[in-house]
Amino acid sequence: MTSVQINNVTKRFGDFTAVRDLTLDIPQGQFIALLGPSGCGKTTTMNMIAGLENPSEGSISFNGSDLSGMRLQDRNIGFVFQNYAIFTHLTVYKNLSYGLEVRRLARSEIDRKVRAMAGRMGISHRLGEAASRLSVNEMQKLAIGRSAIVEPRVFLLDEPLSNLDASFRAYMRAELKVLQREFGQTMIYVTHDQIEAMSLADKIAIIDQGRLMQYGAPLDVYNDPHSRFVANFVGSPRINLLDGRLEGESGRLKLLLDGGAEIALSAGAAAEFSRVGFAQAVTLGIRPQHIYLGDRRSPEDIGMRGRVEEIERVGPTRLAYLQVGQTRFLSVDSHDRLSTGEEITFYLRADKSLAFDLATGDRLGGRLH
Amino acid sequence: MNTISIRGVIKNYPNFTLGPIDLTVQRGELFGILGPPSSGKTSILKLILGLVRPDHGRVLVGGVDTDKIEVAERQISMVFQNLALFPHMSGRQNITFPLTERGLSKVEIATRLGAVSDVLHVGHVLHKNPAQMSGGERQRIALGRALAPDSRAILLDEPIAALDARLREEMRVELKRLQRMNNQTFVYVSHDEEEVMAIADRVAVVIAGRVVQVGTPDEVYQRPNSLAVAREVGSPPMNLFRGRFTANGSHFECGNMTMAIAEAIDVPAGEEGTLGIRPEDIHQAHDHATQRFQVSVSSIEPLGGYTIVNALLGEQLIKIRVTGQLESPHDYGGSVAFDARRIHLFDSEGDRLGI
Amino acid sequence: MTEMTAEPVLDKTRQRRRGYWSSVSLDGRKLGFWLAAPAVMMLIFIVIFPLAMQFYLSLTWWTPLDGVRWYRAYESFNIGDNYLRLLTDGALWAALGRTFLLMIVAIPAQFMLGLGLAYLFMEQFVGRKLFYSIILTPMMIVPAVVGLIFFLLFQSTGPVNDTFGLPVSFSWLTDVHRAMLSVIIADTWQWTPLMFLILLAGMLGVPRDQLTAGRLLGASNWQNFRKIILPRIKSVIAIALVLRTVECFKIFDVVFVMTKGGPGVETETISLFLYKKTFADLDWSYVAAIGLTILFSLSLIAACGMAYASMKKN
Repeated sequence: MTSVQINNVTKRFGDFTAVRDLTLDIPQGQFIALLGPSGCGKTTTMNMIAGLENPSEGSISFNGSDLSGMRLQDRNIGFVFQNYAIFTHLTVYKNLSYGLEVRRLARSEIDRKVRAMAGRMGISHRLGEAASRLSVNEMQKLAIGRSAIVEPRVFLLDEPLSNLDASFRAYMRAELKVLQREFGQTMIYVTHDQIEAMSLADKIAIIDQGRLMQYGAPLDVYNDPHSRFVANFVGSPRINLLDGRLEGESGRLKLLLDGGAEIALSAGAAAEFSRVGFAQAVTLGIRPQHIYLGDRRSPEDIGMRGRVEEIERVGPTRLAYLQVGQTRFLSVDSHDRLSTGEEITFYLRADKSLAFDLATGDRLGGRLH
Repeated sequence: MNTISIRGVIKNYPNFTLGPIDLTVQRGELFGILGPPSSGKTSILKLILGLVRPDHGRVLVGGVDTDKIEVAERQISMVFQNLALFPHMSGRQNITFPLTERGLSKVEIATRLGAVSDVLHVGHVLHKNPAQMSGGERQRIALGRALAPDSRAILLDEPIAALDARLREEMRVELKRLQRMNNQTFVYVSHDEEEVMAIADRVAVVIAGRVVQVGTPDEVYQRPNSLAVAREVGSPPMNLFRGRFTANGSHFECGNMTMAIAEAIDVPAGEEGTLGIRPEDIHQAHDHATQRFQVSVSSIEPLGGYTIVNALLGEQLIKIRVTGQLESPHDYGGSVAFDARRIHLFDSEGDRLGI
Repeated sequence: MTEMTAEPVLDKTRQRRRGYWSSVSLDGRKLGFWLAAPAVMMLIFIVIFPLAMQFYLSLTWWTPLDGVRWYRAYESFNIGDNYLRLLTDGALWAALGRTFLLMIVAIPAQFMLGLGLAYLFMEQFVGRKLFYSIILTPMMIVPAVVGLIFFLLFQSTGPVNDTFGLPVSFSWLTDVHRAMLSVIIADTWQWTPLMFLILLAGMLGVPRDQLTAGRLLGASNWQNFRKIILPRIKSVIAIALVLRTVECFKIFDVVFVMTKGGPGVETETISLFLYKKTFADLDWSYVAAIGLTILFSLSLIAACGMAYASMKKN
């Protein structure tokens, strides 16, 4: 079991800086997700751990010992490529045995391990077949098995589920988690899909434009985002982010949202915002499930009136888009009774509202109550 | 009059037969087609567009049999999966290409371009080449190219598949808004059932070349007419238990589990079948619940607003959807009950039983 | 966006076309036929007609010394005697033997050198483009000129002997044992670049990801080469070998210029043998028979090779 340390790593490609001063401490035996939009530098980071790229500055170590200069062959890293890169000219058996053959294990030993791994991954029935004839789902299992069979100390996976169809993806999410526990290795997983990251990882590192935005357990990142970016990127369904300006005098503060809606802030909030100054550009964040209809539940909660613009059904839930002036709120229609065009009153839960500084994206102090 | 009508169409391919297909798409609706990969969804689009001619049956567009008209006269546009933007042309040229090809006047072209770029917010990238645009911008240009010529219907083949997950969620709402605003007819194909179900007015489920069910997303979700459809729709997918019905159709047995059926089904004794229950319809059992099943939780997936619990019921792995957050697997109790009104029953052939 | 109308928008596509020639550009098959026609005519005149003529002559005893035009060769029909003759012609078989000897040494040498060079060129390095152009140069030189270059190099008083600085100077071109070696060296110098080119193209087609995957699994460069690259370029190797085998068999210019087949008949390859038979002995019908037999045999080998290559591709 190996821990991985990324120490102040920067990576430049010519003029372009892909990774900026990234520091990450990955404990052994854990499942870590590198999450971020395309081009944020997550794949570059993983390539540097694998040794496919070298950092421009900083270093990467396993269990504290620096990896620089170590050859690819010697790092003993398991790597699953996004397109699997299985050996298409070989059989499934030969794919699995490749790593063992290059280590010159005895034939009987190789055979035993290959059959065991094939059984574990559920592809025993395809052992003699050409690897190129496997379905995409089976190829993914083969890619994982091929890397796992050499018992690497660290397992790297580059968007491994992106090519799979939806139902198999759901199945593999659970499988990967089980496999990681079983193999016991440290697993580092690159993805742009926050659902995957949330469901699989022990900790998530959120990266944007080469910078680490936040690093923590899924629910911590969800409940307590440090920045507007993180709040927006993580969580299903996605958070409402409403930009606006603070107006009024102390004690009678209002939040004037960009679309024209107004939110009256309670005294406690006023104290919070007095730190940042008036006419400040801020963002109000509120998750759809924290907007409710019916009766006001707490005096702090903010009431608004708007029109149901659109209803989107996502699995068992229905999301309602509520229009107030030019501003849109996304709410979870948990009682299935709204229809398009209806005018309704809704409330924002004060204790679950998040405030961000719009200029820097940083989270402002506590909550909006 | 239906905008698109497919009647009894059969198309033979080397290792696959598409059809017989019967479908109608009404004007102004967003018609979704979903199904597993290689089930024939894209082939249906090709038949509508005219890239492919049916071996049997007819395709009618605007009430006119397409056999009698040139392909271009169908007036149907398409947004392709890989967008297929002309790489050597600017955004503007890409959008106006179909218009110049049809010989519209310069004034007309400028008007249409203006309308489209306003609606899609692409004014600032019109001068760029596709290579210089972001994924989302490219997708909007491809959409603009399909919208500009004032087509009868627009076909979309996995138009946002290449985008990041978060961007996809935003873009699909945009697409819906656009479709609604212009009262356009969209035929939308995707293998991502969540995407299609979220925005479609009506949905057709295509499996192995046949249209297995057509209906509103609600209908298809609440009452899938076969096992195949039940598996296709819903993430996570429906939990399925194979077992048999008891003599009077009042109970369903699977392993050690026996489930009472609210309204008895008329099936022969011992008939095999499948019971389905969606993850969100499984709840923690109260002490006074009549039917409880023991589960052991193996892991949880915390997604923020809700949590997926992976548990073992007997020998079988099931998924349970719980609203809110759980700190650890131990927070979920040992026994569950199924919402009796939400049980789906299927016979040995996979067809739906009961109401 | 305006409402839809059901009227057809395009009128251009409705115009009717008349006549055969105006429909040619619309009908794919007709167009194809007429575009291919000139090439087919050329094929008939340049390939089929001469072949037929050659076959005709090979069945007679005709030579230009007979005094009649060739189409009257039927007067000396012999139905197959030429073919029997070639089976027992000692000089012919000796020439064939020497040719095979040359091929057995030259082709493997060219292959190994080409393979090694191609492997070096798989990765980027400083000056790669420059060296690439330099390596390809020998291939571009006219074979006769290559022969001349090596003729000059291998002179007893020439640069090669000077470089070696040995007490006894080798007579490369006139020594019975060394003449063949010199020719082989010349041929290898000229044609290794072709092997290099073809094999490199094949190697660059190996997916990079798979090589990386192999390395991450712990494979050394050699193991990766043996287990991933080599199996994948089998069809390319087959093509390269077939190409070179057929060409090497026909080797002429280089040998002719360097040794004229000498010393004696030491380097008389099959092409040189046929050359002498044609221009010195004027035994044209015999040569026709030999030519056709060689054509048939080489075609068979090439066909087998190509069949193997395409089989491996699937």
